[in-house]
Parts: sequence; C-alpha cells; structure tokens
Amino acid sequence: MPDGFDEFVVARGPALLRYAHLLCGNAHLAEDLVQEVLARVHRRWARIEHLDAPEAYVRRAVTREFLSWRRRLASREAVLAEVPDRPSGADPAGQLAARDEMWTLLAGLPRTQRAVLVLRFYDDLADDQIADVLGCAPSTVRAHASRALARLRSALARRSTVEVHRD
Amino acid sequence: MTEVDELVRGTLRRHAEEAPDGARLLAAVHERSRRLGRRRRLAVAAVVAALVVSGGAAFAAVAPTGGPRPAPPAGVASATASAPAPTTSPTPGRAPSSPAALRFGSPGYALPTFPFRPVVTPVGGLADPVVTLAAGELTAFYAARDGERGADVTIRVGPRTPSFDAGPAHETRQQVRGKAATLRTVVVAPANRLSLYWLERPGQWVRVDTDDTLTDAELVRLADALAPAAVPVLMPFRFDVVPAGADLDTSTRSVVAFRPSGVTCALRGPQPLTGATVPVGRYRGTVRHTGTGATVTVALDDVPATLVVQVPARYPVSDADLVRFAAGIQLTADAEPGS
Repeated sequence: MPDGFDEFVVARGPALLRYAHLLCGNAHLAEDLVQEVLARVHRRWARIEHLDAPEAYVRRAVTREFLSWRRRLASREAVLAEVPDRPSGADPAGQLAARDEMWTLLAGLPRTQRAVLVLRFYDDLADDQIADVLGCAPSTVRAHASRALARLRSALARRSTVEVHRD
Repeated sequence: MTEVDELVRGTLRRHAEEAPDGARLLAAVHERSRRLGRRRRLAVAAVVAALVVSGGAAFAAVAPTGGPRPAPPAGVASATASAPAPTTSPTPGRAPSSPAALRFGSPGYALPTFPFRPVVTPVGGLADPVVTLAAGELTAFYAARDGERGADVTIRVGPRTPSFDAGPAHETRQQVRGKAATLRTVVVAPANRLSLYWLERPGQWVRVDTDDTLTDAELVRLADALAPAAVPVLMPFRFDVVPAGADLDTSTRSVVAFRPSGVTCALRGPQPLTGATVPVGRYRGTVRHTGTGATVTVALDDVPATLVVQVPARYPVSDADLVRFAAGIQLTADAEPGS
C-alpha cells in the first residue's frame, strides 16, 4: 500500500478524530467511525490520493458514515430535556457548566442538524461547502442550522425559566 | 453572531480537545484494513479466549448459565428483556427526585442473529460475514476476498424504510425475490455506490450496499438469491450481570451498549491508569464520576488492553455496583481493542 496513506493518517488522523468526536459525542464511537472509514479508504487509496482534495473526500466519508448509523445514538438523542444542573452566574466555572449543558443539548439534536453545526461552527465552513459535504442544497443546510439553533435556544430558555421559578 | 452561536462554537472547540489523540490510529487502521482485505473471521486467535476480565469465571466458548439465549433464526434484533431481578439498591444519599438508580441482573436478552446469507458469489468472492448490531439494527458485512477485483457487500435488515443522504442519485425499479425493489446509484469518486432495497415482509426492510465493481444485474442476482440463515451477531464480551431489563443496542468488536440505559462497555488499547486504583476482579481500575456520568477504567495488563465502562449521569450508580459490573465482563474470541 502506498506510503502516502500512512502519511495522511499520521498528519490528519488527529483532526479527523476531533471532527468525529464532535459528530458522535462519544470517543469510542469516534474511533470506530474514523477507523472504519480509513480502513475502507486504505484499500482504495491509490485512486483516492489522486483526487483534488483527498482529505475532503475522507471527511465526507466520515460524515456520511456517521449519518448512516441510524439510531446508533438514539438514547442520547432522546434526552434533550435532561440537562445537567447549571450553576448560575457569569463566572468561568459557570461558563464551563453552560458549555457542558450545551454539549448535552447538542447530543440531543438529530444527527444531520448536529453535523451542520459542527461543520459551521467548528470547521468554519460556509453553507455551500457544508452542502457539498452533506450532499444536499445550501437551502437545506440553512434550514437544518435554523432548526437546530432554534431548538437549542428553546431548551436554554426553558432551563432559564425553570431556574427563575426555583429562585 | 448570537450568544447561542458563540456558546456552540466554544463548546465544540472545548470538547474537540477531549477527542482521542490518535496515537494508535495508524496501527488500528492497518489492522482493520488487513481484516477487510483478508477473510474476516468471526473467530480470532484462540489465545484471546484465555483473557478474562474477572478472575472468578473461567472463559468458556459457550454461553454460561443464565447467559443470552439464542434468538429465533429469523429474528431481527429481536432482543426481548426478561426483566431480571434487581440485585442492587440505589446509591445512598440520592434525593428522592433523582432518576432511577441503575440496577443489575442476570442477562436476559436474546442474542440476535442475521436472517440471510448470499448464495451467489460475485467476482472477487466474499469472505465470511461479520455481523454487528448498531442501535438495534443488524448489519452483515462481507469483505471481498480479492480486494482488487471484488467489492465489499453490506446487507442490512431493519424495521424502518432505508434512508439515504440527501443528494443526487439515480433510482430504477427492480424485481427482487418477487417484490418491488429500488436500485439507487450515487455517482461518487472513486466508485459509484449502489444500494438495493425492498420490503421483504411487513416490518422487515432489506438493504444491500456495494459499489459499481458489481454491475446492477449482478447486485440484483445476489439479492435475489439470499437464503434464510441465522448468522450470530459478534459479541466481544460476556456479562455476569447486565443493567436490569437491558436489551442489546450495539455490539461491535470493541463496543457493547445497552438500551435504554445507554451503558457502554468499550475495549481499547492499553492505557496507563491515573489516580487512585481499586481492585476490579483480578485487575486494577479507576472509578470516576463527572457531570456526564460514571466511568470505570480497568487495565487488562495481560491482554494488553483497557476496558472502559460508562454509565450516563441520568442513571445513578454506586462505585461498588459499577466495579462489580465491570468485574463480571469477560472477553470473548470476538473481542478486539479499538485504538
């Protein structure tokens, strides 16, 4: 097998794992996902490395493999309303807790919506680039992002309301 | 950018740093690739069979008394919980309003089997299947024996209509096993993806995926000639106890997850333990509680590997119960550490 594949995995593997971790929300599944995709890519690397952007191809493959894992994270997707207790205030500890809460909320999103947010806010991709990764129209990307953010805002607002009532 | 946008961005950047470091990724990929290229076998080296997490129970190739019972041959993830008797009590000191504490009992779920096998062999041959369970759905993966001339074939069976990524695809109507089927082709480099799917019987969809190494006609022939079978799902662990009422949700070579609790057991490469350790069977391990849940990490020094058991925070569990659960997990011949 060409050495180029090994160089690619060594150089880009950690980034792919970070990306997969954000998609899956689970380190073990992220490893499984990346290993599975790279193992399949390995067998066809001679053809893939001649593509214009091999890494983009692999990222697309990781994303689509993730989206094809139907209901794998179903139990996590069902817990949107169950967020951990959040300390109030704007102190660093409070911000950290808010991020943990957001992480839980992200895990509860449908996977396509979550993938859109990861691509937009972590990879800083434009909507047309996200559309290319997901194989859909840019308008669909915008719709997914809009629904996801609305859902997050709503969950956070509900949470705040509950805290006010507790106070 | 709104406050929520910023919060999402900050959250993703922070949690990205918690991803695996990839130190063993290359080795793991090569290993997995070799398995794909060769004939992937359900039974790996027998020496793995000697690896037992807990010292109390010797490894055996057959299920222990009280272990999972075989599912009916035509079963599709037909696990049914038998609601084993609870053997533990909630963690002391929890508020009455806390979620129900995790309880453990003897395994009562059915071990799923894959209900089909191909009898038509395409060019390049097909290795023995590897059957996995992901979120309650069964997948049989057949690696091409000859990776240069042949193509891998994946068959999925589930109760829901197959779904696909949005995007351009060409679909044609076919006839498979006397039923109306759809052949979907996605034009993509380096090889077009072919998916053939149909409703085999009410509540049972079958989907066959490969690439354009096979012609459309060859794929239809392969699907047309699927024969009834009962190929067992691989199971990397055997459990002395499992979460009460648990069904198997996921079972791969390195990960088993249960529903509805979301308890996950993963076999990873060797990692040094950090912090205070406690005995876990005949091994040492650490127990940690964080905002996301409880984790017990066990160093299987003689494998070598690391067993990581995670319980979501919404199911309170005592350290003693967690350790007892982990100590009762035994590796089988199907087990292979992830990276």
